[in-house]
Amino acid sequence: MGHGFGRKGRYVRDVLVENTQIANADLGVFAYATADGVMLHGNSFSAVKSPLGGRACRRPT
Amino acid sequence: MSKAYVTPTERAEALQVSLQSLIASLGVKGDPMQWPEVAAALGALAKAPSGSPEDTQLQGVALRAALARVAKAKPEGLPLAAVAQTLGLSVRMPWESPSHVHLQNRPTGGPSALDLIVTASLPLGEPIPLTAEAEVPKTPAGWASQLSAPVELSDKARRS
Repeated sequence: MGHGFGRKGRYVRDVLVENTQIANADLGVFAYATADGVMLHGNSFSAVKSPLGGRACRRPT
Repeated sequence: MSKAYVTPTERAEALQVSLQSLIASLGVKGDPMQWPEVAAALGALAKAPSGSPEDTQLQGVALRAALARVAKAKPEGLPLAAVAQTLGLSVRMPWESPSHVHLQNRPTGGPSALDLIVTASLPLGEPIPLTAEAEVPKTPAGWASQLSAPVELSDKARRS
């Protein structure tokens, strides 16, 4: 195929990440660009190098 | 809603934690929230609508302000590994680099050049002066390396 996994469509949709505590980590919440409808609310981060990762997190629309 | 929605407060807090983690890992003293220009940008970011142009701009302002402080505290430069995650920096060797061809077609060795591409995936709002310098701390037996001059990074790369 030559196109990796041949991704089509969305893998994940309508996700709520709420009231979590993430500490002492390199990465917090990572959402791939293929994720659709991810809502983050009330989460706290402590000593996390990259609390929000992935294109979906960085480019909300 | 499409893609991800992060509340403005949470987005500002995430950036604050990221900056705190960065300066701690670099051994720079201080707290970004004690730096007025950074604190102001983070405060405004916490009130900006998520995903708005203002949101993106303020993230860039906070990042650039923090970077300026860090650069002043560490004039000798910053290791890529330390800042890569915070700034979304990555480094790779392009396939068209002469090194690939030379490594395969020169069994007896010889000089070659190693090209590296450094990219940043975070929107900084406007170009910031970054200079990259590569070093090879340890080479295999019989190998020799020569450093190139520091190279200024361009902001002309494609933005995707």
